[in-house]
Amino acid sequence: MITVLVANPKGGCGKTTIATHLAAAFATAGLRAALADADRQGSSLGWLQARPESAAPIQALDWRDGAEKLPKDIDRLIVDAPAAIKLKKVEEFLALADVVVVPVLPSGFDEPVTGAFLKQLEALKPIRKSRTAVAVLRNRVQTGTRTAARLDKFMLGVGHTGVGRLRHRQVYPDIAARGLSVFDLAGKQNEELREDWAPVLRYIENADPAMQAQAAGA
Amino acid sequence: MAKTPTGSPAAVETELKLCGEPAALERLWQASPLRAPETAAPRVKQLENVYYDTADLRLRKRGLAFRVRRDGNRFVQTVKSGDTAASAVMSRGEWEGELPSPDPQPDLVDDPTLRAAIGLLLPGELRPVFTTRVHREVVKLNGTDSLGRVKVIEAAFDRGEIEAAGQREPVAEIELELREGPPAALFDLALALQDVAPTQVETRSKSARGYALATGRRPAWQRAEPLDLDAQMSVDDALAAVLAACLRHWSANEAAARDGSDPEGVHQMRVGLRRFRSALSVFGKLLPARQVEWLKAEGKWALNVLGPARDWDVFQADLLAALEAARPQDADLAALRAAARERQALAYDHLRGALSSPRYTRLLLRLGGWLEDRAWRSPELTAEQKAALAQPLITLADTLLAKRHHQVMKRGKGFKKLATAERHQLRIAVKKLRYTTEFFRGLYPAKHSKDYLAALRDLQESLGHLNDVAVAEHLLVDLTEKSPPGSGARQLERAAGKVIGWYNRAVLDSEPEMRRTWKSFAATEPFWNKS
Repeated sequence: MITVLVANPKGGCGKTTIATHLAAAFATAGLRAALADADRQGSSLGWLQARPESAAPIQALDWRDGAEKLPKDIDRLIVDAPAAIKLKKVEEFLALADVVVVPVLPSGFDEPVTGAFLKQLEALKPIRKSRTAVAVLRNRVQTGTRTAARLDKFMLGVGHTGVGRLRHRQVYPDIAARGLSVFDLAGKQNEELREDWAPVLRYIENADPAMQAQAAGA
Repeated sequence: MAKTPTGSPAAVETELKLCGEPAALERLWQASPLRAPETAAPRVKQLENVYYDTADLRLRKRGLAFRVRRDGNRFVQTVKSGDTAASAVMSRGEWEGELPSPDPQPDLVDDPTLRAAIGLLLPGELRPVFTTRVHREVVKLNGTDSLGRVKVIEAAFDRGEIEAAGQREPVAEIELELREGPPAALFDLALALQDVAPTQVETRSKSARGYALATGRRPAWQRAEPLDLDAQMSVDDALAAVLAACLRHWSANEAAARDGSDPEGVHQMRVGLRRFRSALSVFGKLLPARQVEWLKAEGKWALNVLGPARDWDVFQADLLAALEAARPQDADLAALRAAARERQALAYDHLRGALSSPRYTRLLLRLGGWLEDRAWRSPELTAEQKAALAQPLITLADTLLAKRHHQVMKRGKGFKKLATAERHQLRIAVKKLRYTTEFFRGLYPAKHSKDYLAALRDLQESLGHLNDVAVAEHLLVDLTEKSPPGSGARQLERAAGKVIGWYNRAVLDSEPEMRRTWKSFAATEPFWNKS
């Protein structure tokens, strides 16, 4: 099993969009996916409730009062971390995670907060000891704009792996209320949008703890 | 058990592969017992396998092999797990299903465990990595073994090539696959074949070889797998699990040891062999004496085969490097480094020869069969031995740990005044205790054993300096005595003097550290249950 924690203390950075999409990406690929909502607002749980039965199934876990025992036979677990958090609160979830995905928006308000958050993360033991990988995912990017260029520059400074960028598209808020993702929809446009997710998905797949035993000496 | 019908999930196959000189294999293939008068003529197949993976080789990293086989005009997709854990006998999960075209279709794999192991694949991400093409001849052998058990073995002779990234490597191997009957039957057959022509046991799968060719990577070394023992299991079951794990560990490192580009290969193979020997001394009293003696002797032989290579590796990487750092540009040391390199190369040649020898092949085959059959349960066992094998593991663990601990305390008594030879005795007792704790630590709560194990490890490390000196002296005496007289020899003698002097001094310097680690070990509470 691979456990992914999606975390950023800044609200509105697309944490829930990313958590729900990652869960849907794994579920539609035929893997047994679970989505744990640890955010007070419960947006991920709302999304799961709205999810139609015809869509690839995702197990819902209510973790708003803290992490609970894991169900058996889960291949990929996505945790939507609490927003506006004290670091103490992330640590509990961090201990479970193989990867932390940190969404960041191209905005002068987000970058300093995210930068400070990444610094705090680096000081934590699992990350300092490289047991947990940290990936920064740029969200709602309008390609070719000045803010996009500045975000690229910010990425160079943070010292963590960038795992691509998600383009700003109206489809994301539109389908959120229906419990869907671009992975559930047909059509050429959605297919193109799915390509934005390839780097982060590949990054997560490579963080499989089962690989470490195999990789000895290789 | 071994048959894999189309689309069936996770069947386990048991097989054994022999490799060697093509002429020797050819001779084997034509001779009895593979060609008894009653066996039908071999079936012949031309097989082409294309192996697929992602660009970052995720399937390989997860221990999977994913291939599409062309067999005439049929296409069969196969996914195997556990492929990287090479051992003499490979047991692993497998899924197989027919395809309408040669294009791989990972979505067809409906076994949840294998599906989970494959993970997420992005569109178009699977691509061919290498191809194997073999001419295969197959015969089926039916019979009964000495105990009257039915055995059906399929023997296949593969000749052909592996191709990756424009490079080719020949393949010649005889594969014995058990279709029905006890696994020991495979070993018996392979042993009988050694009398016809000598071969080696092939521990690498074709896919492991293909990946090596495709990536240009040297064979990887492997750590020991964690032992999964529990307190209430019988000593008999524990013994079988421990010895089999040791065998898997050392044989998984054989390819890396032969290769020699990373000293860790020989090192890990020796760790596996040493754990094997210490398991025999832990459990030895419960087994028929004749069997234990043979296994101990052969294990020791294999360990000694690897010894010089390991010694010269350590000498260069650790012992000599420390001096070179302190005395850069020292011409004597440079001459010694060159001579050591030559010795190291000879030692590796020697080990490659020995690992290809009939003696080593027989050790693997006889040990493999002995473990499969639990052949220690023989009429030679005394009533006490039988009772001891049936008792719960925890009882034996408590007794043995107490005994080994006691021996260490006895040897270390009056540590300050112990002579070097006595300290060597203590070092060996500590090593034995260390291995015993490694086998049994999992039976006790980690929080009880933590301090003791840490103190034991520190003690073993600080006493290790004694061994550094002993090894350095032994190697250098050998080196200088065997070098032809002249100015080169005098240079080596001077260098040897510097090294030996340096490490004798280091032992003196480490005296306070040795005393400290001894005192702190002696003051640490044991973690097992006292009787």
